[in-house]
Amino acid sequence: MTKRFSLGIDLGTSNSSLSICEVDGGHAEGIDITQILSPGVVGEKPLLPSALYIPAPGECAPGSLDLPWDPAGAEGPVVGAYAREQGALVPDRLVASAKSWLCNPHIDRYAPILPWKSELAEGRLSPFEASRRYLEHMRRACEQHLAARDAGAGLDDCQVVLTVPASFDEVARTLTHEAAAAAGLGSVTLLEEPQAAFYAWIAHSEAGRGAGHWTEQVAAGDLILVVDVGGGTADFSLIAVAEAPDGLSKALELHRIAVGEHILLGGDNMDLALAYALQGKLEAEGHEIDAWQFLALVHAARMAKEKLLGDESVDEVPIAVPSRGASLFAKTIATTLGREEAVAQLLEGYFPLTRADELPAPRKSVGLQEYGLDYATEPALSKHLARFLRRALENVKSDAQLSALIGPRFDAERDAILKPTAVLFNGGVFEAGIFRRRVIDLLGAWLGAEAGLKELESAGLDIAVSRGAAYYGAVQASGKGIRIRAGTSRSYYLGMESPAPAVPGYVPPVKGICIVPQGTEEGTELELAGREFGLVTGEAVEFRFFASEIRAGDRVGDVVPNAAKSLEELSSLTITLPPVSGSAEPVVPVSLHPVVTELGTLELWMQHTKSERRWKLEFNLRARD
Amino acid sequence: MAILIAAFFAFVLSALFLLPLPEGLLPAAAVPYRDFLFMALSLFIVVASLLRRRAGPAEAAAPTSPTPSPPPAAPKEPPPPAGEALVLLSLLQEKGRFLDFLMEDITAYKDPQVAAASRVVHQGCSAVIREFLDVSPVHEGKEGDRVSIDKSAEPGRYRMVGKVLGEPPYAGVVIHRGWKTTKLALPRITRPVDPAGPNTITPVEVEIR
Repeated sequence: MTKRFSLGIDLGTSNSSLSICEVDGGHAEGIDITQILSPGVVGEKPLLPSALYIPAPGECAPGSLDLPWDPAGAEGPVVGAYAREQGALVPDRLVASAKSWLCNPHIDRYAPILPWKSELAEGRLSPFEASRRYLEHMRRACEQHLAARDAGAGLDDCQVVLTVPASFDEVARTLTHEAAAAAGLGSVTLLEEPQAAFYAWIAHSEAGRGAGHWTEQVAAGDLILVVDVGGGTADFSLIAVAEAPDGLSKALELHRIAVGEHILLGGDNMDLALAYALQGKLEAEGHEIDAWQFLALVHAARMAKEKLLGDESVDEVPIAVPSRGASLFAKTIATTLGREEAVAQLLEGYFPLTRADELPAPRKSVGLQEYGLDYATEPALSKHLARFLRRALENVKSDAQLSALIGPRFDAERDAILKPTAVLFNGGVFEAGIFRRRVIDLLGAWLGAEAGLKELESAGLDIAVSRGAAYYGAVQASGKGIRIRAGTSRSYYLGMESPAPAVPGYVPPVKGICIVPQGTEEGTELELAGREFGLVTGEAVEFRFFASEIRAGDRVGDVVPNAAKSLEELSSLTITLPPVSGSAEPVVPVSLHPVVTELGTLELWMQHTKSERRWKLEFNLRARD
Repeated sequence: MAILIAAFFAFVLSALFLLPLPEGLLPAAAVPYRDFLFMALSLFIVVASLLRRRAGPAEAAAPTSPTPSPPPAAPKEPPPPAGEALVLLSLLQEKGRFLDFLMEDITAYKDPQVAAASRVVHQGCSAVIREFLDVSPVHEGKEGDRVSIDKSAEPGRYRMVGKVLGEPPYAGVVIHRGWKTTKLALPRITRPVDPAGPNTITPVEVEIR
């Protein structure tokens, strides 16, 4: 069925947004999202805070948390602006950062564990369910928008594209895809967020609003670094520009050649850092700051940050924090935040001018440590960026095809990092020109004096991801326009125990056998030839499952000697084969068929070698120790 | 309800600014905040009267307006005007401590205290105004510009004061640039509002320990 609209959904860690684009030559535009602003008050905002609040019994009047699309008197958690504001004061009832929990391999993502560490006895939700609810809210808002726009239009007329961090592994992607289906969005296409920001830049340039058409801004041989720092996470990608293989049409191709690791570090950390500094200052003056005032302080710090970083003529911003009581005049405490302080805290704290060989300290293993969100312990984004470019180089070096694509752009002998030629910024943090300039300076120092570095003009740092997703959906639905050649961002491996004679005290290493190479394009079915598995019917069989984002050279069937050491382990895979009719044998010979679907998800199928029957392997999310 | 609020603020406004204040009474430090207060209050009146106009009850011949109001359009939807005023007030209080600011007797406080409090009000209330309205001056030039108002001028754009004699065009000087909003996306109240009964603007806040 032909789609008339394309819907882009940015399910963010701290804020979500929604864009729509007409498939036939429309421009992507945002949809304001209807949400509860306080009990009994409903309004629209361009962003939906990804926060969920579980009200206490009888806390709000019946019906006062109903949205226009809810049946009268609906009960249950509330999502959006009110949830964030009220939840900040009642942390036991606030679910936040559900997206980061969704990609946390140490927990059961279907188990009701949120709010994390809450003493709440009932009504807790799983990371999956929280994500589903955000998506359902956005589906409803979209349906409402469609109904107002065109009486006959519905979700069936929409191509739906949902963005995920480039750093999401296959398990988190599958869960997001499932959550979207459970939210009534159907089978959505997944798109990496930095790619979506890149599409937004393309759309922006095609609409004649940027610095010329994008094909004039970049040329074959360019390597574009996308730096996406949102409220809660930082995400990097590299996109290479190449000439189309026919060499005649002068057409350009885009290849996403590297993605970064999941880094829980973003703009919210900066606001907190400033608020702590201000709190210290006020306490030194003898004021006590309660929890409510601290929130007001965080808010004031954010405003002051924007003012100081946005306007260089301002040297100092006054900060006033009221008390919660009604006496505004007697109890408001005042201080100031100076430019030097803020710059020292933020610029030198988060974007220091470090060398390209200064990397974040290696992460501690989570072994016995209490599970929680794996927050980055190194605040310097510069070091995370150095690590990303270093690993990207390693990835390119591992694969002859990729090396050929980058061609003369790198010197395998001398370079320590892969050197970009252009930067595209995304995320609200980069509203401040000072951070953009700092990243450019940092890269300039790493690249050497002779290399030029272009900054590509973003199409709106806060909203580009959902706009770009809507644009991509329209490209997909109409078949017109450029698509970034990306494929899977990682290669995937199945763990195999190697047969070894028993030696006391020696555990033979697990080998990883490559089942999906990096860059496998959507709509590809692979086969692990020459390896047959004998599976016993009726019994759950478990496979260890690994991934790597820096082994582009591995092909299907290649073996990595020590998987636990050189690869990253993901949730295991399980399969339970039903008895096969017509076969008396309890052991069924099967071969493995990995499929990268058109929607960008990975499916692993076990195919009976003697018939057409096949069974799907599922991620084992329920238990892992 | 809205008209009462508007009248109340008009009263406060005139008390504050239209009375000639002796120089020494208002310290120099308070002057910027006086301007801010003026802006906030006039905005509130603009909004409140806009809301009222949208609701369009027939008895709306506003005694404060010198020009006769146009015939009221038939209301399209049953709006709760009191509810909208309530929402705006609760937002201004919630984000900008607007009522705390106005309802307290300010006499005893020192100027630095008033200044600190007014920053809270300014930050919060202007965020509310900026989020739900799109406010800009009606007259795009400067105060002090000479303008000529002829018959074709959009009704309601100008308020003429001083020597208004004879036929248009009238020539004059801009005293205040006026305010307009190109967006009125105020949140909607979904709970019942009783114009005669007590209506909670902001609830009692209780910390459960």
